[in-house]
Amino acid sequence: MYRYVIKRLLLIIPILLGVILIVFTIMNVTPGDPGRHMLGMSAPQEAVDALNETLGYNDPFPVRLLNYLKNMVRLDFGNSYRTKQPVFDEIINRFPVTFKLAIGTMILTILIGIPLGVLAAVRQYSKLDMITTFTALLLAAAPSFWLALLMILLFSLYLNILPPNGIGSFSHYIMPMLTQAVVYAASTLRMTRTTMLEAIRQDYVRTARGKGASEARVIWRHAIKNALLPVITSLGMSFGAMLGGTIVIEQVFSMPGLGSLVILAITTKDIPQTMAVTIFLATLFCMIMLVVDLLYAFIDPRVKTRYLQGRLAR
Amino acid sequence: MKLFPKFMVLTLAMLMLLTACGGEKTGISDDNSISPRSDLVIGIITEPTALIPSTAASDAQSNGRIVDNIYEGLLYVDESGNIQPNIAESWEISTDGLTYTFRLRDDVKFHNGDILTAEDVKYTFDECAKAGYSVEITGTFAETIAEDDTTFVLKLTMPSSPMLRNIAVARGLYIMNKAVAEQLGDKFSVAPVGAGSGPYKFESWESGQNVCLVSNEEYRKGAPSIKKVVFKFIKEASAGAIALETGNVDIYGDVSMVDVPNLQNNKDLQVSLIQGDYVYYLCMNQKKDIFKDIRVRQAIAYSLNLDELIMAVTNGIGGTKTGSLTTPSCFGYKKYDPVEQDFEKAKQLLAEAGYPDGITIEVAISDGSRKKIGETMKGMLKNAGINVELKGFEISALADYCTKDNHDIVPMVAKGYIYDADSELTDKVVTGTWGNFSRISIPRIDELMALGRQEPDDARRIEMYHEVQDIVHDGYHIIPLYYVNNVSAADVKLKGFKTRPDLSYHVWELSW
Repeated sequence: MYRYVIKRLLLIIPILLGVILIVFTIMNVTPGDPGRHMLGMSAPQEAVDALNETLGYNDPFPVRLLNYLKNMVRLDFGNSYRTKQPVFDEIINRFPVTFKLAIGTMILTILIGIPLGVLAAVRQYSKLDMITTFTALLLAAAPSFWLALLMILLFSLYLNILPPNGIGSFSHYIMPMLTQAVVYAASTLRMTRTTMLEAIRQDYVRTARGKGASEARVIWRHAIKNALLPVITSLGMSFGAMLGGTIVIEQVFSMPGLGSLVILAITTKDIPQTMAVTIFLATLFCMIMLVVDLLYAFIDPRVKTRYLQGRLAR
Repeated sequence: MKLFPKFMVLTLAMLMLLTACGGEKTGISDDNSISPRSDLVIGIITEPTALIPSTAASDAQSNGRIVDNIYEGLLYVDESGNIQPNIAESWEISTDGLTYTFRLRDDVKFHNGDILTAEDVKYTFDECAKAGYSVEITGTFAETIAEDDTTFVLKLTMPSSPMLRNIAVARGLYIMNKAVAEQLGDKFSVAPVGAGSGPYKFESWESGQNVCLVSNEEYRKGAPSIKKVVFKFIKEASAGAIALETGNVDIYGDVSMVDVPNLQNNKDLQVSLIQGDYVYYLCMNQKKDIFKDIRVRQAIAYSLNLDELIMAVTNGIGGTKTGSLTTPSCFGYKKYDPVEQDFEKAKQLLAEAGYPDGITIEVAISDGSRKKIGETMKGMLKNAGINVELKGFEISALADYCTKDNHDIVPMVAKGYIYDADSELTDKVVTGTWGNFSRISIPRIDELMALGRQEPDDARRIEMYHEVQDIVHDGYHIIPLYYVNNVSAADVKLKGFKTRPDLSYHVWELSW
């Protein structure tokens, strides 16, 4: 088991290298330069050139890549072109916002998606099933910025119970969480429904019913354990996506998270900042997937046995 | 049936716990009930990149809006366009026009208590020239001298009639505290504590959220009425309009034209719509053979209907059509009317130019208004037999593409905030300047612009600038499209509020 964890951790290194190469290349070979971005379209070319020079952007691409990798090994990720401060300062400042948002979204997703999915499966083809499945499809298809604006209209303007933007208190987080959660909950619901339908047709469920267990116990203790396995993988990936992909939500609600940081960094061609966020998110994503795989072992005894067998075989 | 077992209760409890953890305060109150208020929340669409005046970045709208409230210049231009003393109480210009001597007030204090001296002024002017702020302004600086604490001398390489106005208007020449700037180093651009002498002091910049300023109670023109001003970043225009309607922000100046009618109907808001300082115009690259022919340029002008274009690009209220390149408030402005749309004439002109079967041209665009202009043009020009291919870029790639002369046509926008034809025209029409994307090269224009800069007599200068504009207009070298209308809205109770031509905010003029 430990060997497995160490192996997985080591595997992160080539993945990161790949990510760095791809993103760095894209950022550097695409036309446009940071000086022009920072000074604007009407600034004279001389000023732009001077700024690019001070940013070190005028070196040839291979030199820049090599310098970047060299510094990275020494854990020096450089200073942001825009703020001139170390790039990880900004990430540390902003990560809590995105993290809170992702955790809240995750909880809401589980709270809405799984019970409704189970209900829809247990009462297959009932009115409840039809309504939830239809709503889920509708919400999954709706663009999130549109949902977000509608929510702001409803909760901020008409009802005046929630603030439309910012991060001052928990009430600021409710709408962003809800907006994100409905989209993820919709897909979780669909998935839970499918896996649950499969699970309740299995023999062991019939056995459980046969020995006289209550319906609730059959569903929530026996069937759900098997049904949740694929759902957990998908939730884990969703969690990773939430940490990195809340760009739209953060823009609409003006939240200073990682998503709005990365979009700001990209639009101002702030290469060090973009790279740092990308590396940070890629590492985080790898870790989350590792945790999800390990969770499997705790939920599914079969997987745990496989780990142990692997160790014995060696 | 018991369908909500323990783990559901548990997750719910976790959500509650998160509620408890999330209650941190940023110090900005959403509470509007306290009266009379002394704070102000201004929503701005773009986060600033730096709060330092001396670089060209200070002219970016998002930076300038904040910088204007922290720093001040030697001189300023009043509402009627006259130059007024500010930090400099008087000035002399030598008869040869090469030496400017400024007498500074001795009672100007920076926010950290330091007295502003000629050394700070010299530092500012030197930094501005070094940062390449604007070649038109700093290009003629020969020497800066701090003679004593209150005497600053600026020497020029050649006489420059617009210089005084440039000094009064240019944000790059807002005076910075030398000691603070040198001590802060890289931190200066993000946290200029004590660096300015203006009505507001920098307090904090929460990345991604807001910039917070507090009033300078010792401001020599009197402490401002608004004691605390928060510039809150609201990156989505429609979210900004809603924030305004809910009272979450007091002013929003980046209103989308689509939202304007809605805001105008709201009794709690005041909406101010004015003709702004920005002008959109078409540059046709004359390094390409096809645009060397005036008849082709004319044909394009005759294919356009500016009313329809403004309707399509700005919802009809966001622009005022124009045939002039300069803005009406500019020194040397001359009014021209745009030509009427006439497809037959356009076709005829093309045929005469040797293209009876029409032509295919490329229009380089970026996101936003340029894109809409391109799309609208495509539809209009088609009727005259001109086939338009749109080529999209992001903004700095577009600049790069055009700098390398790859473009056929590119819609450009320029601001005319210095209010002098010298700066408004130079970068558009003089041979070899960066912003001359039409690649106009006419010796007479170059000569007139150079003479105009050195001519001390205002009436003669105006004549020269009018001649330049006549040449550009009659030769269809550039096709002006429209002035951008500015709109901003605020709480109806806010006194002294109006939209400014460059969409900046003079917070010290406002009160509740």
